[in-house]
Amino acid sequence: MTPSFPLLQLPSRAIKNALKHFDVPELIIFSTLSNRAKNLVKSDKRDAPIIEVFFYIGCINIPLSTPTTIMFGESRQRECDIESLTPCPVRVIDERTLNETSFTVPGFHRVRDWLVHFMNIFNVPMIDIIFLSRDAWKYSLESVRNVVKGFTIGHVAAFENACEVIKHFPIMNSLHVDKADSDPELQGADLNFIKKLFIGNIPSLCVSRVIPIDLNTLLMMNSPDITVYRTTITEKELNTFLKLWLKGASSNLQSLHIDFVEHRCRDISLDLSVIMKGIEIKKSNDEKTDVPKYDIWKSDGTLADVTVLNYDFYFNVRH
Amino acid sequence: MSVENAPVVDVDEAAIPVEKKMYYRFESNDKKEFRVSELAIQQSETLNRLVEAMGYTSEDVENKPAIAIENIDGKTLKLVFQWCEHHKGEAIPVDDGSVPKIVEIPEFDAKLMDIDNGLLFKLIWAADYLNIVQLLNVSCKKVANMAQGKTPAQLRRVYLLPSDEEDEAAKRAAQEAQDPRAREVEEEFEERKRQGGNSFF
Repeated sequence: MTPSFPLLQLPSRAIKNALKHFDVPELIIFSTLSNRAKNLVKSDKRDAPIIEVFFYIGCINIPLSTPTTIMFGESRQRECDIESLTPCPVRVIDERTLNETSFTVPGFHRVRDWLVHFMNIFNVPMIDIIFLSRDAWKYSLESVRNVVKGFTIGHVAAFENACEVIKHFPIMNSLHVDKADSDPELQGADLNFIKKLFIGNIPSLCVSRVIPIDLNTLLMMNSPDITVYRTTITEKELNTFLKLWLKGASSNLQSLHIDFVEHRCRDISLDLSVIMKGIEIKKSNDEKTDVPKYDIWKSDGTLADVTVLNYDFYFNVRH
Repeated sequence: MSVENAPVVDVDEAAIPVEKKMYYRFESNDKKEFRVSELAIQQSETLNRLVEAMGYTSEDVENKPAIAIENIDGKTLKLVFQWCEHHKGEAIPVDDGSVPKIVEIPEFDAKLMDIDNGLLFKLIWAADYLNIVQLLNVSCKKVANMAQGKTPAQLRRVYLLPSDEEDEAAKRAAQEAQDPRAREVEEEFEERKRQGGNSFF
């Protein structure tokens, strides 16, 4: 039998020092043992920048200084019922060593119980939700919605059935929408839904293959931060976009990146002279990368810089 | 008074500059006396400041009473000074706030801390009180290692962690012990309420 040690009777500084040596699995277990233990772990400040929930495989990624994946269920083959009434087994995997620690804790029955606990001890106010291929989803959208009910959603990534996913999670700070190449093109109500979503005020938007973005759609988007991986926009239309911005269009836009994937596939470089034609510019080089960039400015003094690489167009409003 | 006149560990005279060859005398709360080199004392921020403030000369060290360390016993203090002598001259680590802390327990320290948990507990209290940063790091690392591979129930037993109910009861007991009059007033108030009185006064 292991001899006991009265940890909590140590001086406060020593308790904190000991906790700083704990590996993540032991820290999580310790945090479940009492409110005092939980608050000590919280004050250990192993703050995670995000908590990503991959509901399709019942997995949480917490990028602590020791990268950690947390899986629910006894094994990959025996996933935990998302709303289980018996304590849900948790497997904590150290991604550096792939060491796996499995345990159950009385009182922690549902995935939701664990999520609330992780958000608390790792000081993360919101969670990110990732949905990949529909075939791999372990849980229904309804049950996932119940799990995260009342939580603030940071980022949603929908790689298939984007419309269906977003209808269940309409409010988020950041959205990444994609579709599989094999999926049919969106049409009718779904297409309208996605376009309406894009002209909403999502703070950060990343559009992959879900629909091709044309100039009109780009000009209607209200997100300050936009990344596009599929577009029908031409170099001439980029030139139009810049001229319209100079006249006051897309006033919310702060950052735009368009990856011209088709140019990349066909090895056709963007033509800078077409993009910047007729626009007053000031050339400089990026301090970090030494890549040339071009300053443009509105009559009200708002300054933006444009960078054109072989297949990428970057536009950033400067402050 | 029992006196341990010899240095806690052998001193490498050549490694110590001439002006640093002063040995201070300390006394534990059970009247054990220790002679510790000035360089070893530098590992303890508390003792280092104390001897600096005292400004003792070599004669003072011999003629004046040993410096009393009231709240550490001789057995613990011996371990502390053995550690300080072994690590004298080493840089004192600065906490960069990184977690988990990367601390290796050297072989000497592991042997030194091959002790029962009661003495380890006292050693950590002493390291904290005397502000010996690296001794605190390695001893706390040893405590943290006790958690490895434990189930929740085992971890609770190893660290003697009270449940929320036990914490609450202890808190109430502490409050009552601190202010018995407050408890009496509360009971009197409850009694008057039961009797239907509207006003306490």
